[in-house]
Order: sequence, then C-alpha cells, then structure tokens
Amino acid sequence: MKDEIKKYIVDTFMYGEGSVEYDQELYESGLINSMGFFRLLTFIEETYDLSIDMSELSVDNFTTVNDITTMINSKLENK
Amino acid sequence: MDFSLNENQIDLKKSAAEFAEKKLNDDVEERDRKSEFSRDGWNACADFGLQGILVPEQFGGMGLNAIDYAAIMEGIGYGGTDNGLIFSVNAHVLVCIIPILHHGSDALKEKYLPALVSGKMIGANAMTEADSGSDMFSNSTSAEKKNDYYVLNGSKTFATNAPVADTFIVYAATNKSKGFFGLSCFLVDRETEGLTVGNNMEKMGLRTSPISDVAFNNCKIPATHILGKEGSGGIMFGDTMEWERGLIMASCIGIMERQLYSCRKYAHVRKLGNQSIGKFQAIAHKIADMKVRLETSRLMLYKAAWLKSQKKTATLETAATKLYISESYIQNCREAMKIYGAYGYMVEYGLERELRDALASQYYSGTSEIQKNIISSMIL
Repeated sequence: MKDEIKKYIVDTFMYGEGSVEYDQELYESGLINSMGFFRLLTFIEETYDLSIDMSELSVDNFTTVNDITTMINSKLENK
Repeated sequence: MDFSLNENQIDLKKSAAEFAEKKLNDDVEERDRKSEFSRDGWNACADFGLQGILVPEQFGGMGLNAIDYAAIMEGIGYGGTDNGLIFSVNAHVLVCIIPILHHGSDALKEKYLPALVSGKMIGANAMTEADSGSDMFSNSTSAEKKNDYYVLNGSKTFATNAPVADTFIVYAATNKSKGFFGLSCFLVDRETEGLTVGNNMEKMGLRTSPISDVAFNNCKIPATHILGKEGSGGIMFGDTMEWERGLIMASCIGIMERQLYSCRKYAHVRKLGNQSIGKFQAIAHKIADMKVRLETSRLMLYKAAWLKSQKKTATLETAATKLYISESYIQNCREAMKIYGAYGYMVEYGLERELRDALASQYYSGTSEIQKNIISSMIL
C-alpha cells in the first residue's frame, strides 16, 4: 500500500520524475497543494473503496505516506 | 442505476413547492427594490423545516440526506420567487450549519444547532477577503492562541447574511508557514467585543439576501469555539465547499423548471398573426435548448447529491456541478426573456429580476473561473 500511494504521488504531482520518502512531509514543501490534497483523498477513496469523513483528517494523520497508510489501514480494519 | 426520486422525496418536493408559493412570495418585487430581507419568510422556512433538513433529529432537524435536500430545495425554487431569501437559507445551511455539524464539538452542536434550525439564530460564513478573493491561503486574517482563547484580527468581505447574522464561521491563519495546514476555523458570536459588521451592500441581484463586510479587532474567541483541530481549517473549507457547490444550485433547477413551464404556456397563448409563437422554430428551439439544459443540470445536481449522501469526496464533481448549472441557469433566464420579447424586459413579468438573481451564480461559492481552476487542477 505504501508503495502504491508513493507511486501515485510521484506520478501525479511530480509527473513521474523524482521520489518521495515515506516520512516526508508532503505539504509544507509545496509538493502537494490544497487541490492536490483533495485529489489524493479521492484516489484513496476510489482505490481502497473507502468513504473518509473529512472531520477525521488533520495535520496528525495525513501529512506523510506513513501517516496516510496508517490511517487507511485503520479505516480498513474498522470497515 | 436508478434515476428516480423515491415516493417520500417526491412528496417532500411537492409540499416544498406548495409551501414556497403560499408563504414566500408576498411583496418580493417591493422587497427586491428596497433590498429588504424578510425575517417573516425566514421564520416560515424554519417552521417548514428547511434550516434543519440535514441536521439530526436530536438537534431539532429532520435528519435527511443530500438527495432529500436537493429534492426539497428544487421544490422551493419551483414554488418560491424570493430567490434572495432562498439563497440566504442555502448559505446558512451549507456553509454555517454543515461545518458545525461535521466538525464542531458536542458542546457547540448542542448550544448552536437547535437555535440555527429553529430560525432563532441566523448564521453567516466569513471567508473571502478584499485582497485575496477566493484564495483562502493568501488570507491575512489571523488567530493567535493565548492561554484558553484565540485573538482574532482581520477583515472579511461579501459575507452573505452578515448584516442579520447572530453567529459567524470564520477562517483564519493560525500558522501561516504551514499553508494548507496553517488555517483554522472558528465559530464567532456577533456580540464578541471587537467584531464589527458593515452595512448591507447594494447588489444587482439577490437583493433580498443581505451581505456585508465583517471586521475583527482583537476579538477574544474562547479556544472551545475552534471547529475541529487547529490547522484543520483547509480541510473543513474543502468539505464545506463540496456541500455548497454540490447543493446550492438545487433551488435554481426548480426555477429553471418553473421558467420552462411559463415559457411553454406563453409560446402557446401568445400569437403573432393567427399563429402561436411556439410554431416558429426560433421560439421552439429556444424551448428545446432550455429543456436540455434543465435535464442535464438536474442529472449533475443529483449525481453530486448522491456522492455527498454516500459521504464521498467529490471535489471535481461538485465544482463541475456548480459551474454547469450556474451557466445553464443564466442561459435559460436569457432565453426566457427573449421568448417573452419586450414583455420579458418589463419588471412586472419578473424575468429581469430572475436574470439579475441568476447572474450572481457566476460569482458566489467561487466564480466560474475558479470552478474551472479546480476541475483542471484535479485532472492535469
């Protein structure tokens, strides 16, 4: 899952060039902007067949590939 | 796949249309002229249940979903002609009640939702700023945390309902360096010391919906009045905008339906020589175009409503819905005026007011250009 998300980020926001670390902060560096946030969220919902309540999202659980994967796994376990 | 509304939704839509026609249409022309908001109309909407459609029953609402909301507001638009009042109700529900409902603490929900549903309180959303427009990440309004409160400074403009509002949803930077995660959202009472509401701005259309500036000068906001976590304002704004863009045009679908009915009728009774004007292709084709725009707009509305009822993220779909319906709505208003000829230009027929009201839809909830920016940024 981590690699799938990482690949999506690189393909979508870096046009396939470069790389992203699992613990890299994705927003402050400008890699993902506000629209990119919602694009990534849509990708996750579609890929893992989830509905993510936006009130569950915050700076604590959606800023690195590691955070995002943890959040998705938690959602899948409780599905 | 099922494109039909269920029986309950059809009944709700019908009763909404009947309610609006009976209770909301008095003196609209005069109130439009005076830019006058109808508190009686607001209270009637609350008694009917409009403000509480999406709010759970425990807070006094109807506990219905986004599709129900779309159906009811479509009925309201069909029966009602006070488009400004209906716009104010939409703003109150979609950008004030929704963020409290989705992101507010239990204490805030218990304190504010019953009053916002009953009509006792009116809500406003203050996001747009004079120097940054729809770009919320360039906003200069700030909130600095001090002990158990935040100090809010800055000013907002084009805040719908502000002149009559009791409470405000305010977006402010809590940490500018964090960009998307540097914004926070607050619930601010009108009585807060240092909060100033400007005079009602005179507008071209939607004149019965009040709008003004709001300024914050060292306003002390209890820390308990933050919605969600500090830094979650960007997410909240995106969530709220999806609801607004997905559903705010529902009443306009009702208006388009009413206009089409009126134009069809007029095309039959209005004669040139011995012939109904509907027999002329120039008129008949306009009516065909109006029908196609109405049906395609309705499909987009209910697709967006369905996505939100499924709790799906729908950033692209709701921006496309808002863009398409607003442009179609304006186009249909223009066609209706042309079908009526010079009569359509006369105030007493109400069509010029409908067009003035419709033109606002290119601006509110993000301009058509902003919707295109969103759509393209989601696919490029």
